Amino acid sequence: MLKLESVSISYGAIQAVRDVSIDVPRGEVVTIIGANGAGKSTLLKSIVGLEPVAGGRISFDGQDITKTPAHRRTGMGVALSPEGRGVFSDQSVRDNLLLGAYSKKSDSARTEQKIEQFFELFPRLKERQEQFAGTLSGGEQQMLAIARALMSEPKLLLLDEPSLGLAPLIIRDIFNTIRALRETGLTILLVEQMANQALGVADRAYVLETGSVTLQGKGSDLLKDPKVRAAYLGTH
Amino acid sequence: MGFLHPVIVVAISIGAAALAAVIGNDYYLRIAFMMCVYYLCAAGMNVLVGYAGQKSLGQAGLFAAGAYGAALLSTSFDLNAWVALVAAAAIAGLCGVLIAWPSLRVRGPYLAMVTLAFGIVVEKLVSEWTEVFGGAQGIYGIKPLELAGVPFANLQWVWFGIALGAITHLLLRNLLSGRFGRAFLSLQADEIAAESVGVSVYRYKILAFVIAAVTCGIAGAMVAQQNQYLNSDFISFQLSIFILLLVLFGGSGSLYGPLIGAISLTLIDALLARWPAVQHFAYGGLLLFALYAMPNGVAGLFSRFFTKRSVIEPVPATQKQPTTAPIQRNEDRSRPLLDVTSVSKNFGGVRPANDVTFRLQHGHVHALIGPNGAGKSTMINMISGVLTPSSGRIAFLGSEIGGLESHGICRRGIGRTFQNLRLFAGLSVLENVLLGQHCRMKNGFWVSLLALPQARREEAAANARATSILDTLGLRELAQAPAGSLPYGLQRRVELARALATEPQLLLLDEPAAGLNPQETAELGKLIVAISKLGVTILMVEHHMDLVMSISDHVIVLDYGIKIAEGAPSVVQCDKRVIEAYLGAEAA
Repeated sequence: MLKLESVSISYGAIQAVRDVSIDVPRGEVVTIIGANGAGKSTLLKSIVGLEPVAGGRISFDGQDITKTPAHRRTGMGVALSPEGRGVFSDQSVRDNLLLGAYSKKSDSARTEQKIEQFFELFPRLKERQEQFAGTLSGGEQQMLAIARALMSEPKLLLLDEPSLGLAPLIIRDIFNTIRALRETGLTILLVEQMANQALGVADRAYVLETGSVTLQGKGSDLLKDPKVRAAYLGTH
Repeated sequence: MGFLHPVIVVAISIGAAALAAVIGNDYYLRIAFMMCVYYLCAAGMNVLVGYAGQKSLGQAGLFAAGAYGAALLSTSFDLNAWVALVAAAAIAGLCGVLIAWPSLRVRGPYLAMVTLAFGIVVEKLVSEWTEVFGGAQGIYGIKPLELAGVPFANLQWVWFGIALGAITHLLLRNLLSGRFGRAFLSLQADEIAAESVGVSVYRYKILAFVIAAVTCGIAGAMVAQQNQYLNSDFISFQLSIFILLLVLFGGSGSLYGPLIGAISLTLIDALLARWPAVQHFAYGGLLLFALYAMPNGVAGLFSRFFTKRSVIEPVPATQKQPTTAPIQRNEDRSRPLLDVTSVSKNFGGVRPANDVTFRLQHGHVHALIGPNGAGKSTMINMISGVLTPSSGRIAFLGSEIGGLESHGICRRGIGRTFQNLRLFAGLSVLENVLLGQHCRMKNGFWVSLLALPQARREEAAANARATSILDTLGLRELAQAPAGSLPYGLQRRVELARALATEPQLLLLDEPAAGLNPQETAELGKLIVAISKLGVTILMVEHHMDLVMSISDHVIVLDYGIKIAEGAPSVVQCDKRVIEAYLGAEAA
């Protein structure tokens, strides 16, 4: 579904990504793990078109999208739940969700149905649906960002650190949500610091180190890899 | 700082003065004089717009305050012209305080509207109140500056303007290259973060307005005295716009931008004066093009050619353990460090803190945990002064701090980081950490303005401190990188470095491990323990339970704004209510 071929990106003064090739097959959960500064977020931004690519090719659904503008990629079915949330703080929770469906132009009954579905998933959002998003706690904003990304009914969902700032109980819910979303046939590319959980849910995983892919394989295999365990799981 | 720069400035000024003497043509001297006048306006305005980030559209009002001040003092009160010039600067400065007032409450376009209104009020005042200000008839017989009883001729006026411009440049350069310049820039970047490192937003905004007002007032007074006549036509809305454009066109936030703006726009103005019909049209078109093509002004265009873009290699996230104490403080350990008593907070119908009481012990690591939305960040915000408690007491070292302003709380010894990162993104990593030292630096306004030895010593000491903190946190190689260009996890570490630079006794960390992988989280844990060993008490909000349970001495649990448990990690971990509300069954 998504293919990155030899992608390189210079991000500000930092050469963040070098010659990275990643394959995300339809219906799978693929995760990218790596230390801070390895270039994971930059890579996600380039996939949605928020960061220009210096070299290489990105294709989605067989189409070359390397130069396609960001808003058109959303229409094609790519959605990002960004790191650090990026919710619209001066709009209500409900309006944030409605904006997530902006590119779909679908009927309002369907939209309402989706909103209800996410309220079921995140009851906290339902309680606060009329509040400005800026007044939510950090964790609630994270939930909102994920729900908003899903509102556009993407074919490919990019999640940048969905567990960031969430309580342990909620993190478990988030990973259960990811599993449930895969069951519905959604393709997911997940960047996550909680490597343990990420590898546990992923069909396939890539390890990114200082901008290059150093390891790849099945999620369950990497989970057992001694090098990965030492470097990313904190177990020696 | 060195003496090279002042010598060059003096040499250039003498060269310009000599050139003026050679030219001798009254028309050209008049243009040169106006360049000096506009440079003065722009230099002060640059502090306000380019550094402090406050857009003012009312500078003509301040220009008028100086011009009419000098005019009335020398005609109605028969004051000496030199005394009138100084008094005019003071009057304009007072008016600066007056228009700074609303800037403390309103921002962005609203502030522009308020300053615009000020400009219009002054314009109407001087044109309508003819008994005092003479209206369009004007005021005649304003005394010019004189030396030994001989009034200034056109050439002397230009010399005086050049001298004053050079002095203004040197003084502002002293001021802006150190502690004060950074503080102004921090206002522009993020006021809450500025407060958290001890910058009084209130004081610095007023200071920026006053600096802009004084230079503008002097410029006004010079125009009135040189013409020996002043009427209400001098003061117009166009003048306010022109002064703002001087800065934007030349390059705001650059020390040379105002000079470039003053010279080029005065020249363009003079050239276009031959064709009055197209003057405004050509002028507007040119500026539109310039601002579009050069968003950072002419100075920004030049600096792009001179600074090479270097590629920084990504740095692996390693950090050393602190070997030298970044903080050394004698403290009275007999009293509790922080006492939170029955604190509540209401946000409309929401109650993120409800009768919360706890106490922090010297040198311990405390953790504040609870579900999302439990009110943990609200508590941190109340302790650090970002929010005021609705009721209850917060006492730090025995004295009440609830409701104090953030910068005062920082000064007393409470440093903090923010959950969603509030770095000064456009400033370098080093500048961010130096801003942390702001409240510990002792060089005041006059010392900095005149670059007295104390200012140099304080700057050097702060640099050494900041560098050693960067070393400790493994950020040394990134010192010159813009903080906003770093990856998330490193930005978190820069925030920690900035908080440490405030030399806190109590360090509040709002989710320090968010965005770190387990390995990095473990390293952060070691770092936090090492910091606490240096005598810094820690209160952290955190969701990584392995981190919380391994390094905390004391854990406090909030749920829906209520404290539901506290105690040693092992005790809290087994508490039924905590498991139910937060940890989930499998963690027990």
